[in-house]
Amino acid sequence: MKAAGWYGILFGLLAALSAASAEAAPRRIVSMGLCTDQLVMLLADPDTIVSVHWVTQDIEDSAMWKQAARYVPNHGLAEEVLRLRPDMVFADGSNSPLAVVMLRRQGIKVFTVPVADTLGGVRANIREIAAALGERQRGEALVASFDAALAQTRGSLADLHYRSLVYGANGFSAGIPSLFNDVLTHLGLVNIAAKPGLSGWVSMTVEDVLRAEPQLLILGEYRMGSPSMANLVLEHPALDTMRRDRPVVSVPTALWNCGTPYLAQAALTLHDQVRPLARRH
Amino acid sequence: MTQASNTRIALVCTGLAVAVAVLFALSIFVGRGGEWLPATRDLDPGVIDIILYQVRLPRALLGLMAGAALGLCGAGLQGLLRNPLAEPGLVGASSGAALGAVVVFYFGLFGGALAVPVGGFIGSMVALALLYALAGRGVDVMTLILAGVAVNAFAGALTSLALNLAPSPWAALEIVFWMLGSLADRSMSHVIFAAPFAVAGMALVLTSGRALDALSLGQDTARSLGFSPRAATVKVILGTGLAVGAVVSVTGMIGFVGLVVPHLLRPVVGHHPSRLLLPSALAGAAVLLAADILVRFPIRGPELKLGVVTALIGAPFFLHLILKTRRSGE
Repeated sequence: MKAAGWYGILFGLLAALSAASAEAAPRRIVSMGLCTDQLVMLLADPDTIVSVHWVTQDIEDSAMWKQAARYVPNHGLAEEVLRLRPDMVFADGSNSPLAVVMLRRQGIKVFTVPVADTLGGVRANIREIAAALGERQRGEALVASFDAALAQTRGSLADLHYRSLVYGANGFSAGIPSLFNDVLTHLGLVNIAAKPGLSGWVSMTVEDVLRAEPQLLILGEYRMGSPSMANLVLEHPALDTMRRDRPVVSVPTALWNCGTPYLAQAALTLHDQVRPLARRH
Repeated sequence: MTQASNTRIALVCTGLAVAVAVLFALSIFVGRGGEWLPATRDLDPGVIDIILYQVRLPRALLGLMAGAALGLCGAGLQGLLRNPLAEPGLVGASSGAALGAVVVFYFGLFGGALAVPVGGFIGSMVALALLYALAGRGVDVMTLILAGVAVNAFAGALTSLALNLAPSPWAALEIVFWMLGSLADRSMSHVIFAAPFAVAGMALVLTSGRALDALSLGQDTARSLGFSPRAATVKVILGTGLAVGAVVSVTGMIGFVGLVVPHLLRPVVGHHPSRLLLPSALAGAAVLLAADILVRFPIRGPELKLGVVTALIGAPFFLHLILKTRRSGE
């Protein structure tokens, strides 16, 4: 009886200890994906982050390349992450499931964050990562500031009734669900490619674009300086003819390639570009 | 050459030219899912003009040029190497061209985009020279094919390496284009880059017919007939390098056209290279234009890659040829 009582206390203590360690804030965070990295940097204590994905340090891809520069870059490989001895790892859809499984097998806590393809998904991801970090309050504050920033441009181009089209490398257009689609809808624009596609992407040839007759063309210009077949479609002379009689704009990829609060800035950039052109055309 | 066979070749060429003209027109007017463009009423006439002249015309011109170059060079190489399995794709000329084009395009050598056909030419020439050194002329089928396999594998590996190291994040994904070829969304500037090289190359191969005829009787006979074997070799190799290098650098690798076309024509026009060259150019153009119309038929998703269609038709044919050559060799 007495022994059982002691055991009871011992078990209770152990349980309490393990619960405490689970709740303890992480001290060595590794994040392995461009989009997840940015949310982690917005939510975690900067000194607790050890490493982010190398692409997050690139100005063309990442809205937070400056903040990312101070961390060790990783390439999403299990081996290099293990060497960093993390106590918490964030992965996302861009990571190899093999790497994630291997890290988990080593007993490392790995959170896999779903890819956000709607504005609602962005809020959900912010809250999920904040909860994992034990920073729920920061999470709510970030969601609130995101919503406040979005409120500035909600429906701000609706009066133009533009039938709009996003067109980017490899001839892909933003369908549904996609962040591009949500930003267009948020501004009050009509996305004419708004149909279900391959992970939200709709393949269109130059001819398809011409035939869709968009009133606003948003080019997904990305690293136009480095030659690629993918970008050649954007330089097709037939698209140039569209510039003559309608607004053709582009928004930096880094602002809207990820489900982060920077989407509000993407919406504002788009608004600021289209508004003056709309008066002219 | 008898009067009758000349008339026959003239007839074949006329028939093929008509087929090319019809397919060229179809390539311009037939769109996705087989839709006939001028019949579409809900489009602005200005938009239709842009589609026809800036999107589809360059595409049809490239199909014409690439098909003619591949068909002609296939016939020329088969004549030169006296080997029925020689073809720009199989002997490595196309993969060499792709490598040269990739290096120039992604790394901006010689000024980048404008010089891509030059890269294709150099790559193609290096591959052909390598093959010629490995296999020599008049060697057996097996040696030639194996040398081609080696050149192809090496050029393919270097192309993948170049694409992996290229400064563009898209490059590694674009291996599909270079390996399987496509005419989609090319513009008139592509036609203009490639045309001078392609036309010059084709002219070289086309004018080598009589010398190839003489060569088919053996080097000594050729010499005694007043043809220089060396000059003929240089003409065909240089011509193939120019033409294949130029077209591959704008369309990617499109296999088997150069293999299948001369074989289909031999029963009709005979075995003399000189009679085979022009019909092969025309038939090559017809085959490629037809294949490029076929790729548009799936309505949903991206278009098929051109090389997928030509390989689906060409690869079984290649197998059939190997079996046939082996049987006749026994």
